[in-house]
Amino acid sequence: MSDLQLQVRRDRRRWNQALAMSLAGTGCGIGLLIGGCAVVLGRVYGYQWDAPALLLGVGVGLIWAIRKFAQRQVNDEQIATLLDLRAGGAGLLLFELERLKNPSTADIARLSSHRMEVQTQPRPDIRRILRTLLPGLLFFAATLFLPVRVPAAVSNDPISQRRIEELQQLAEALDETLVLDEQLREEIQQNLEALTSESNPDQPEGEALREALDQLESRMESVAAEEAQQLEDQLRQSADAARDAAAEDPMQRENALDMLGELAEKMKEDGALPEMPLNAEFLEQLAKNGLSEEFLEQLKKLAESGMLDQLGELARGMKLDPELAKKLAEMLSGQLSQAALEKLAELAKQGLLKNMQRMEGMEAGTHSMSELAEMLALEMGQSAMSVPGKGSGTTAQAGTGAGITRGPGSVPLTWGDETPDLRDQMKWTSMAAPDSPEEAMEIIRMTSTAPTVDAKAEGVGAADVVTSTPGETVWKRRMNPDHRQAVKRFFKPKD
Amino acid sequence: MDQQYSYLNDSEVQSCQQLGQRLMDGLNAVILGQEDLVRSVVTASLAGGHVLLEGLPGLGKTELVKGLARLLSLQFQRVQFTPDLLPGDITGGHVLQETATGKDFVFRPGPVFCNLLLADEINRASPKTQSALLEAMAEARVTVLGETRDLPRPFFVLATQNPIEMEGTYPLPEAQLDRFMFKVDVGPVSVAVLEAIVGSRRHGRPPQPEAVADGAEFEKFSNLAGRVHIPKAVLSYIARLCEATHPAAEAAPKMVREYVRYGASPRAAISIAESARVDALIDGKPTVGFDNVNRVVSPALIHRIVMDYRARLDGVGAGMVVADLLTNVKPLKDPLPEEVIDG
Repeated sequence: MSDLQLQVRRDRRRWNQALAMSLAGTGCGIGLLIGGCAVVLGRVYGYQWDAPALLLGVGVGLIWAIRKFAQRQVNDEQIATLLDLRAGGAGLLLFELERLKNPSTADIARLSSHRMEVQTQPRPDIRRILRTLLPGLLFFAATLFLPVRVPAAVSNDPISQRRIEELQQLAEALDETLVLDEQLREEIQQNLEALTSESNPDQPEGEALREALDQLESRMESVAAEEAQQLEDQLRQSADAARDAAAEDPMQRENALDMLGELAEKMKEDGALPEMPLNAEFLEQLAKNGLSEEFLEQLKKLAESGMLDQLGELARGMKLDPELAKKLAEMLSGQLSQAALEKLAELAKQGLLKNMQRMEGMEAGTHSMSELAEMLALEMGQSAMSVPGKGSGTTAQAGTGAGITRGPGSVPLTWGDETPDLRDQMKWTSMAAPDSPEEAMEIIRMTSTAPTVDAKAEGVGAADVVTSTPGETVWKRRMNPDHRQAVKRFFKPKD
Repeated sequence: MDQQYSYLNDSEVQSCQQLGQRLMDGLNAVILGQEDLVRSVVTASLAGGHVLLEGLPGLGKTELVKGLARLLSLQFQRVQFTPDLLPGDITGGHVLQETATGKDFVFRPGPVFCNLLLADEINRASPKTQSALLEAMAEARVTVLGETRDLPRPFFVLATQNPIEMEGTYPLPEAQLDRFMFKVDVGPVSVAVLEAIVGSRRHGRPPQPEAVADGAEFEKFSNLAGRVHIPKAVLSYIARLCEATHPAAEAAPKMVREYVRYGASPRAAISIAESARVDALIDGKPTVGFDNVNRVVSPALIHRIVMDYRARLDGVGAGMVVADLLTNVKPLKDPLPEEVIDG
């Protein structure tokens, strides 16, 4: 081993010793701070942990120092480079060190002439170590003078316990009288449990617990008040709607019925009204009111197939009184097939049956059963003719042959034995159109800013609008803030 | 390190040092007061690299190149680049000629077939003509009409360009700039040097130097330069310097992050290493040191760093960025612990 290699190893050892001392000093300083904190904690809780805290702190500090040392210890290459740089950075020392790893030539002595007398003198930075060690030492010493605290006797909190019990009773009462939201119920339950755990007799009573109890109480009271107010509102609205339902004006009566329906739905959703399924008990009750067994069977079928609503819709559309509607339903259930019923419901949806009222001599609730059946059959026949997709085309005056006709005309294009049209199997859905143009012209929103233009959506003419974006916008949107600063610096007027 | 690696002996190092010194002395006699420029040109030439000289007219760029060719006894050609210069004017082409078997197309070599090509005002030629030099500079051969011909060895290009009168010029693209080992700025000379020039040279004509070496010596020097040792720490320093030129690199200094758009290519690191070997030989050392690297970094990097437009607005040049790099990138790869005081 050459002198240079020996020197490098020796210097590396000295550098690492100095580093280890420095890190150990710093680590002990940090550890003493931690140990001091442990002593303080112990004394607060009535323990005297001086020696274990000292050991813990110093141990943690030394572990930290060892980990740091493993990461940062100095190696031979660093020392060799440092020596070479001290010698002028000519690379000769590095060359010699690397060449000596492969001593294939005999002129090592020649290279020693290049060697320069350079050395290093590493030592720990005492000031740097003291900056950490001294505060740690002083802090630890100061903590030793702290008195050990004796824990105070714990007292029970009977007032809080009693109030919690009251609140629990209130919550149960609320749950029984009002239909509480599930989330709200859970929230109240959790709060009560938390408060119960906080009111542990082992813990001293505190203002925080009292405040929490007050808050929970006020919250439950407000919930109860809100629910009561809501129920009261619904009842008042129901009463108003029921009063309006007896009015003579048909429009007012219809609106009142709609409102009653909505309120009933809402109350049902809120749980204020019980569900009323079409069960056996209900059907029996209906039978007692004079409905035949067959009618009830048909009613049951209709309910199962979801047609009951449609039948009710039909009855309302025809302005039938309930007695008449009941008889009509009975007659229809006995005479019409399921397909015919569906067709009837379809026509009712399209609003075609409303036209019956405009027919001469027809007044709602004044016609006989046979007349009604005839009218219905006639209307069904005419409506079937005018249903789109049945070859009616678009005529200005159907049946007269006058006006401009498009398509195949009003004559049905079926000759018999054709495959049923698939469209017949579809369910028609009529989209409600606005009754008045004013409704369509309703202003949705007004803004104070200019409208944004989508070039693609607006077509060619929008290009001018897009390109006329103000320069300020482009400046902010397209330029990196750093680049903006550079341009500003360049164009800044010189003083 | 490879066991078979053969280190230079004293006599080899000494002969190389003497050759470099003779060349520099000769050129310093031709161009007064430009010692750094002369050293850079000699270093790049001996390393087999191409040099781009940039400076104002009348600073002696052309005389420097002519003097180098004379000192090395190399075949020298000069091409004055103009906008109407065609690629065939450089590479040569086929001409109809009377031969023993009748008329035939014979290849007539262009001026590129030489050892030392002076491309004067290279940025005045069209990009098409400039690119005709690409293959010659990169691979030392020329392809005309599908026939590839090797250029004589050694071959290197010394190009000049004028930083003013930029109208009607075609700035060299980055790919072509990267093929130059060094870009050297030819600066103005001092008053004392001007006095010496005016007093000693009639019409400013420099003395005609005698040849100090021939092609064989040049080749020998190139071969010996390949055996100059580069320590690992120095290699790491070169690599870290090049990496730090990239604005996205972790080790990039603030100036690089702010003003550099693209950093140096791996070819830059190769150029630094090769030129540092020659520089070490000129210093008479068998190994490359940090001082050699620091000396060649600036001419090897300034044309390979693409500056951002913000640098132009703020008046920051590539030279300033390289100086900042040398300040911020330390030769020590891993810094020594700060907790330990040395000394």
